[in-house]
Amino acid sequence: MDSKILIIEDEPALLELYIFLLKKAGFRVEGVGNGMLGLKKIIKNTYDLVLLDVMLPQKDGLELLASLRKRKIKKLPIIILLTNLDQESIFEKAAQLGVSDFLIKSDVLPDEFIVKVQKWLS
Amino acid sequence: MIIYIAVITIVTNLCLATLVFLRNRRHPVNILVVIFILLLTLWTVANTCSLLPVDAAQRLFWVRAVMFVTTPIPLVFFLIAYFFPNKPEKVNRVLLVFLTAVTACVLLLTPTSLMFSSYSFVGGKPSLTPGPAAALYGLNFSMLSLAAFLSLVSKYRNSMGRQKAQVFFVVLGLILTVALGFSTNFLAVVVWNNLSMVALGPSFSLILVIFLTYAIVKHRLLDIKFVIVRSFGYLFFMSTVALLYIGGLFLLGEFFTEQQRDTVDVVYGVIVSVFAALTFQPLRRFIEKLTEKVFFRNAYDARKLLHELAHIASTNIVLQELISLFLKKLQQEMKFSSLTLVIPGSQNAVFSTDKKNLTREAEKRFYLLSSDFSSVRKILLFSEVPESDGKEMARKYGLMAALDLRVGEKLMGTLFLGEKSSGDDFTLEDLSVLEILCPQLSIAVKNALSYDEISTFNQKLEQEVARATRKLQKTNATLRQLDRLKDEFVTIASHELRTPLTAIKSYLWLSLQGSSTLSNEVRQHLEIAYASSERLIHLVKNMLMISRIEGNHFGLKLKSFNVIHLISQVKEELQVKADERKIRFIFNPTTKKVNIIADQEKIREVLQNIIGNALKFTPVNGKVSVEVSHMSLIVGIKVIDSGPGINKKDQQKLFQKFSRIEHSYQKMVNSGTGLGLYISQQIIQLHSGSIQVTSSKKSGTSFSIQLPVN
Repeated sequence: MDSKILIIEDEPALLELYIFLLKKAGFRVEGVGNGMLGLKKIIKNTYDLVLLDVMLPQKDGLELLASLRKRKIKKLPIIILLTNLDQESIFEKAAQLGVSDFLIKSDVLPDEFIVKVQKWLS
Repeated sequence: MIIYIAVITIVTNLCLATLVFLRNRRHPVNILVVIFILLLTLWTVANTCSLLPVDAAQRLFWVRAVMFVTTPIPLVFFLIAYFFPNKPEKVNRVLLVFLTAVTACVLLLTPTSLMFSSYSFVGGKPSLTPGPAAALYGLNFSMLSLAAFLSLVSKYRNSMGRQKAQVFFVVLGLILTVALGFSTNFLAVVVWNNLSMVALGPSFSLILVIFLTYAIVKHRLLDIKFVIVRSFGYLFFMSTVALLYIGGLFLLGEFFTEQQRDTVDVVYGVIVSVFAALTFQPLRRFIEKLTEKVFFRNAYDARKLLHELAHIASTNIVLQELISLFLKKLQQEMKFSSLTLVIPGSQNAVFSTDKKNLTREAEKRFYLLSSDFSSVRKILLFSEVPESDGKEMARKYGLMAALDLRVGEKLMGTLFLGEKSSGDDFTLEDLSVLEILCPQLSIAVKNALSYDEISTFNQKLEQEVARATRKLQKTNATLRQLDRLKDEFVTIASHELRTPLTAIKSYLWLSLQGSSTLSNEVRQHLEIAYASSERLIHLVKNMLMISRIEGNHFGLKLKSFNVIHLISQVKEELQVKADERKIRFIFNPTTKKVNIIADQEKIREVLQNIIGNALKFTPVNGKVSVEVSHMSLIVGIKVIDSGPGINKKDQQKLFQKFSRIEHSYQKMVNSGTGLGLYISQQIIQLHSGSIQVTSSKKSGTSFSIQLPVN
């Protein structure tokens, strides 16, 4: 359990919550509050998993995914969309851009969230 | 012989004078013409007397009488020229008074020896000795005649159509009469002392009479009535016939024997009468044709013209084209100076071939004129109308006649005919042609007006439809835009609501899970807060879904799945709830597999909602069962509970939005959002299925869902 996780989430209350939960579950976690920084971090560092919000300042989740695809990075982390935007069209577009899974923030309980992350990292 | 000529001249002149005088007693030209003719008659009398074989003294008296009578003739001639055809706008009174004074002076000198001193016979020939006043007479006569002549020539040049023809004949008649009379009876006598041609003098006035009559008959001079014109033609015909018969009788009398003249006269009279009776009709026709040719030019083929006009009337439906073609043809063939058609029912009420002169003002006048004469049937000749403003106007615009266009009793319009450009009057043929084409034109105008009305209406309708369509398209676009904005708003709003709710729910969960230091009371409060946050999240989710369903943005992901399997899954999920309340939750399907094509997740939501409700409203130790029935095309799912039941009134409102609030603000014990059944029904209906509820207090409530297999 030495996986490195990046959380890109602009809502401080939720960012703090997810960092708390993941650290408690034993992951190494980094968190950023906007899409631009998130993109830089993904390019610069290597992560096992990225939890990505859609509505973000500076660069939204979908734009970030599109930028990543253009750069043709060799080893991309697993990306899970973590959002409250319940819109099929967004999920479809994200799937095309290489997203592995979707989580609706308001629908998942903290323990379900951890289970999901663990499942993807195992 | 001299006396015969004189009598004929006098009688003819007096007849014409009476005719002219009776026609218009007030018009200056009519009065002057009458005076002129009377003077000519008096001259004839005096001249004839001067030539009678009486003594020299008496002859001198009659010569002086001749001079006296003839002195005013050039003045009257000048005045006729001055006032013809109508009174000038500015009358030069000084000039007229001066000329009258000169004439009066000459008049006073005529009986004196200053004019002619003596009458004698030189070598058996009569001879006159002129005095100095004779020169004054000659000067007065020639100067005034010259002035009159010049005035008439300039008027002739400036006149047009009918008037030009009138002026021409009047000028010719006057000039010939005055010039010839002056030469034979004054110049010859005074200069060459030759009296041999004096007897001829008065007969020259017949030239004027002939020309005036011709102008009256052919060119309607001095407004002589049409009827008189016709009678004159008939009179001419009658006298020709009479002459022929008398001539025939005379010739026959000469050829045959003189002895039995009396009896033979009777026999010949009978023969001539029979001949007259037999030849009357053909001769009449022949002579009528002849008079037509002499007096009226027959330039067009009436049958051909009527045929062509009928063709125009039947092949044109657009009013403007119809009228312009019709009038043009009619004008070309019958040679009218102008044709004007007033149609009160059309947009451009006045149509004319004479577009240059058709000013706004003239249009208005024509319009008024048409209402003046609209009560008249068939053809109205303006010459036969009593003097009125309308007639004055008709004269001003050179109009000869008006025709009413009627269909039944309804007046379609009025056609005004200008003068014929030849100056000719209407022939009987003209009139009958006009009478025939009148109803034709009326019907054609009526049709064209109806067509115009329909096409205008169509055009308006098209414009109206186009306008309404544009408006509708615009409204539609606005509504689409609004709908998109609403959808966007709901999406963003639900996202914004969910984010803090997620935080609340998650932290409450953590608090409840993590610590065991909480007192029971605090734990209970936190649990209520947690449940409320969940409800709120659910509500937001439902609102978003309704917004999408109602905005037709609710896409179904159709695929084939086993509905028995789905129900089992839902049962498994909800089993905990049933167990909590010790409810017997039964699902014993008779088959293991029933595949349907539908949106699995949406159907799952419906089942969760319906079964969840059943569990929620069934009391502890109750029973909830799910049954599936499968027919060839339809799958039925029935959820039956042993709850308290729903009364009839509430059943109707069950599938409405926020149905609970509708009939009571009191909340039920187990509160939901009130949107679940509405959403379920919408989802089932999107699958072309249906959902019903039956309920009674004894047996509880059952919801039935029917879904098509494909």
